[in-house]
Amino acid sequence: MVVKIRDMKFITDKPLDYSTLFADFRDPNSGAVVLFSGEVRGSNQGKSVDRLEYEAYIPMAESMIASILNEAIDKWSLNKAICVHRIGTVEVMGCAVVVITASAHRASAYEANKYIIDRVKHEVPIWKHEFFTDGTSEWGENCECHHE
Amino acid sequence: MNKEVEITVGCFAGLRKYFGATEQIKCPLPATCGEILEKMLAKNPEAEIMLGKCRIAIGEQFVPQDFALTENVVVFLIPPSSGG
Repeated sequence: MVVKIRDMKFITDKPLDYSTLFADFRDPNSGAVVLFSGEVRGSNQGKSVDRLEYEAYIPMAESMIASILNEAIDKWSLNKAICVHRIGTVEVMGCAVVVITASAHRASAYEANKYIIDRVKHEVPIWKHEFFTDGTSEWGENCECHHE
Repeated sequence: MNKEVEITVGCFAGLRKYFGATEQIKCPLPATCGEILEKMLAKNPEAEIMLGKCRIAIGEQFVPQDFALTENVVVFLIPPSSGG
């Protein structure tokens, strides 16, 4: 099954323009469009963050995100769903990942959106390298969901 | 008789503190993916904790540790995800 988005790439090294993506999601069958933007915080675990650098195993990440989106589209009868994740450098307040879901009513769009971002964060081979303002750096691990 | 082959291992993210982006591991066949993890550990014992957290992929599919290796296969070691 093909994701109902025209030839969209799910991993990009370009800044994410979520207002354009959002505009593309409007359609007469969707009474609800939910947009989640994962943004880079200026601090983490008490340290001041300078920037993040994301890396992905791109072919696998692309196919896994497509599969997660298709599952969500089927499970919640969505009209559309998209998830695009950045690789490369993302500055503080920059958008690292965007998930948009569109459905007839809001409950489905909200639930599906959370389902997609949770699975992408925990399953898809994408990694963040945090660079702190003190010159140190650290690879992240998504094992502390209860903090998110 | 066992045949020794060179397996290419792809490493990402935090694993590259310990290894190059790719490593060549000599391995007699038949062997499993789990044996590649053991050989990587022998190559750099400091990577023990990180190797213990990695999943294994061949192509674009995760495979279990008992998955049988074949000649010319590239094994990717996938550290815990940290997207978002």
